[in-house]
Amino acid sequence: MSRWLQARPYLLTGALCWSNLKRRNRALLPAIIGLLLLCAGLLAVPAVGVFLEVIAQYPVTPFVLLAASCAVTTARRKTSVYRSLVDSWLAPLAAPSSVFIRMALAPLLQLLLLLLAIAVPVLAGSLSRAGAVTLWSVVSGAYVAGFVVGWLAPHDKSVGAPNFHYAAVRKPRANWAQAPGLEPLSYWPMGQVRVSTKPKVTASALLFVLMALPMGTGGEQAIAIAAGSWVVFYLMALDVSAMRIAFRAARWLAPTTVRYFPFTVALGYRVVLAQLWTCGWVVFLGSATTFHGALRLGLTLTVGCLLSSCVTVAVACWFAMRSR
Amino acid sequence: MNTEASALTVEHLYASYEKHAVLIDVNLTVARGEWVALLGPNASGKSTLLHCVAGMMAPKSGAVVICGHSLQGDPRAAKGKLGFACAPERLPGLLTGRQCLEIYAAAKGLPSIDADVLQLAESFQYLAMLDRFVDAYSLGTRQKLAVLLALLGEPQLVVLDEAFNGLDPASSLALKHHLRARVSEGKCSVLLATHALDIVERYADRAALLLDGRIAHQWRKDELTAMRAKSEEGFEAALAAVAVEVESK
Repeated sequence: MSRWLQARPYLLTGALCWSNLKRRNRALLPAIIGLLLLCAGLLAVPAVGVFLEVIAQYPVTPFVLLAASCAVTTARRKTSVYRSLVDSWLAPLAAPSSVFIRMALAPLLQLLLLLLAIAVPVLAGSLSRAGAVTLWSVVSGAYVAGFVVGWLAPHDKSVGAPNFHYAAVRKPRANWAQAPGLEPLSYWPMGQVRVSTKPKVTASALLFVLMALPMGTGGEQAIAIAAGSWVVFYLMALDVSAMRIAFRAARWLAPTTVRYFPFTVALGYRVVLAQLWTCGWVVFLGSATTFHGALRLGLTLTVGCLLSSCVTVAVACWFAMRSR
Repeated sequence: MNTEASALTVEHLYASYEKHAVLIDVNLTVARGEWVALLGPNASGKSTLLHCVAGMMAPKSGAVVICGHSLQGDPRAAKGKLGFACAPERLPGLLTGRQCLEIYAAAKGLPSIDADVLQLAESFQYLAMLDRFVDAYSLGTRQKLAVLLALLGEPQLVVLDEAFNGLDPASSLALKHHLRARVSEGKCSVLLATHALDIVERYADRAALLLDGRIAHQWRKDELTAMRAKSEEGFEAALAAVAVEVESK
């Protein structure tokens, strides 16, 4: 192993973890190679080349989307890299922290993969060289711009000590967690949603949506699209957090004799109620507008959303209870 | 205060988590070749103080000087003198114990893993676990590895946060003897946060009680020895008395 790498414990740890992961899962590397070959095969399909040719004719939208996504992920990576400087097992060492390399490695790898991905349809003859050059320039420029913006973004300097999880309790609730019952479980996914839908988080998601709007979109339309996107994001966040918390709660309650049905109901009912409440407001506001058929469409979507949530929660809880 | 002569000097240290003040004007010195035990009830700020000493948390104000090097001014030199046992759950699960030791040794610029650390690993009966992945370790085994990492490279100040938790009695005794021998030979100083009063009574040179973010009381070596000789529950009773006294104030 090179002396350069040995003197950089953060990079060395990453390299060894990757190498050990391959050792532990012998199928991992062949699976990745197989996946890449499959992707290359799909990229060689003529329709993909045609699609990329169209994208190459409107380079602003892909540039903005890629740059924004790269900026957001770089900013997030910056926060996590700086956090690792205080809470990693290597934090007490007087060794180089390799911040820049750790931040640049992932986007560089993504960029290389994207550039190679564009090369496949060119080799297959479904994408013109001029189109490919435009796309290569767009992708490279977007990644460089996104990385610089993400790098310059201020990171959260208020990182506390390891395992700092002081919860901000706004008001004490006297009516729950006082008597034995599973009801407090329902607050867990809701709390998780509150974290994942903070304005700081949703703003970056909405940024993509707004940036991808075609030029000339009206203000009212933009606001409506942003609001609709936020609602979809919130509904999805509810489902995702219910799934995640189902596994964590099942593991936590593994030593108990809690049964599937009360567990699922306790965990999921507040999520479903929150979705009902949100969808209800959307349907009410939608039907109050001039848009014909909003009520019927809204009700259909609400029922579909609630049903899919119920199924999601039920399936997640079933797997969670089995896997614990 | 002569910061050169002491292994650790903490002066007027304030630390908080957002608005929640945890350390309020903490002053503490650990002399070279001294074992100081840091006591205190849960959530009194022991771990926060140790994290400030290890440079893992930035204090609001105050100074931490390790062997004459300011942690704020010259963190690399200060951390070079420090051995800190990280929390067992922080160890990387995808590495083996040997790889962890090798990474630490390389980062500290050691040509090989210290012989006395390997000897301690043998007394821990840890050698058989060296090539297993950390995520397959029990809490006690992780704790052993964390301690071994802290002791690599003969650091002049060893900082341990409840490092005896989870250790089996034989390993715990081996560690106590190892640390005592190192301290007695003047190779290092130890700052240990612990709830184990037997360590304070038998092995520590000094004990400091942290209450509500302040050093409420300190006991010298002779006081500890006298209390041990006095009765079976000498130090325990003294600790309780001080806690009650501080509480009533």
